[in-house]
Amino acid sequence: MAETRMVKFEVLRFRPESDKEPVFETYEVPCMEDWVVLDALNAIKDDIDPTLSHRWSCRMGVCGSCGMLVNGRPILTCAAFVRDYQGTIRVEPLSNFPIVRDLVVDLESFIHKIKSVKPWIIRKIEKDVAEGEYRQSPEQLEEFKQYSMCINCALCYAACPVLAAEPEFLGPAAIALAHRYNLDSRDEGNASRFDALNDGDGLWGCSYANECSQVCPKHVDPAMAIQQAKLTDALQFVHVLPKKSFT
Amino acid sequence: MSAKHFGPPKTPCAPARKPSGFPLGWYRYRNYTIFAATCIPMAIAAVELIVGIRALGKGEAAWDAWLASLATGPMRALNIVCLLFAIYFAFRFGWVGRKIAAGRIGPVPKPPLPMPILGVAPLGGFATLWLILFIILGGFV
Amino acid sequence: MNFIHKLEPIWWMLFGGGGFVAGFFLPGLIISVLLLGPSDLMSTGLSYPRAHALASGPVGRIFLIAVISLVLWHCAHHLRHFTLDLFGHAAAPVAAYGAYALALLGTIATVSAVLAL
Repeated sequence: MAETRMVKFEVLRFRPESDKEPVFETYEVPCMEDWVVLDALNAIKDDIDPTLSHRWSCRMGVCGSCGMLVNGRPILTCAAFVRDYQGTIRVEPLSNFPIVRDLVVDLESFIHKIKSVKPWIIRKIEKDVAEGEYRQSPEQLEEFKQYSMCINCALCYAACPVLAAEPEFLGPAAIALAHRYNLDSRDEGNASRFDALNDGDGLWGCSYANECSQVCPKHVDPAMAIQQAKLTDALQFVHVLPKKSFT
Repeated sequence: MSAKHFGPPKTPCAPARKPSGFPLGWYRYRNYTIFAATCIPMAIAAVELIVGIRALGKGEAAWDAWLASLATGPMRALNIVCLLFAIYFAFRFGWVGRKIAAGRIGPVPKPPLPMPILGVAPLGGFATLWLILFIILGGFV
Repeated sequence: MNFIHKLEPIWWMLFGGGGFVAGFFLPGLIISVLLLGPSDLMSTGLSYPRAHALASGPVGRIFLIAVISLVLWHCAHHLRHFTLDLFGHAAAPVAAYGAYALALLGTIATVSAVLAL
């Protein structure tokens, strides 16, 4: 039998059918040395309290489902090792999102914002398949590759202080995604994204707190994407730079 | 499709919770809050300079009186606070701004200003300029 | 707020430009003039004839108007966002109009003070 250690978890619970507001419940979980917080949550659900609701999938940091606040910091629970924390570990759902149940948040606003920046290749005339692929050099790929690594985990939205004050702010992931497509050499849709971005609650709501980049598990650095997008957008606004669109 | 006006949640939800530690509870949020708060001391310093320019325009007596008014205890303390906030601002502005210098405009790499200006190491570079300003204003050359 | 939102890139460019000049010059100005101005060290450099000559020359006038105005616009934009962070969506119009109105007043005051030299 492997060595286990009893660890106390304080988990936020919210059952809309019976709770007026969220409440913390404490669980003692026997944790193995190599466990992550997600393992502990699954152990709670399996062995202690089957009513606990939480989202998870790949448990290896690529699906973006298991984002939560652990001791107040947004993190993927499949990447938060229990041994790295002392004392009682507090687990809450992501901040800045309404809570559906327990650790599950309503991500509709997040998905809506991602869709609103048209995150797909936009071309005036699609190349016929018979004409072959769109060619792109490694240098052209490097321009935007970092920003394409987003796994839509919404940790950046949980960390952003602007979103806390203004829920309609477009948010780091959506802006970084728009910038990723604007930088893509195959894309001609810069002008189509301009209106969604160029708004007081779009791109310009960002006050460069840099928290999004600090919590991003894939090192996308959305803060840098946003500041670059601001510079590009401003120069296009005063017609120093052209909008890259259908020619 | 507008980014705004997404509908309310489809099921009854608890309201969104604020990020933990904002504005002053977590060191990174605290640094950001202080950075945002630098706007007030810097504006005060700018207003003081406007008052000084007005005094300069009024003549020698007004100018000397204004300089003398800066020598009082409270004004000295205020200006030291303004200076500390301005230095913190300069450091952080340069530090976070270095990433934009490394960035691109559109698909073709083109820095917005010549790299020697943007690439200046934050505090060292700024301090050199402050020294030059001091030398010019003090008439030491 | 539509007017404010339409010109967001302008506010941001003023903020960025103001941040650059603030970083380059403001601490130097605070040290040289506001803190050391009354001292013996600066008594020749900032004596009335020299100070007036420096400030009223073409370079001096442009420098003073540009630096002080840009710093004020930078502070206004920062103040606007700071107010939003602290008080939320409801404060948006007051924060924006108030901050930029103050910056405009400050710019007018600066220009009039410099032209009166």
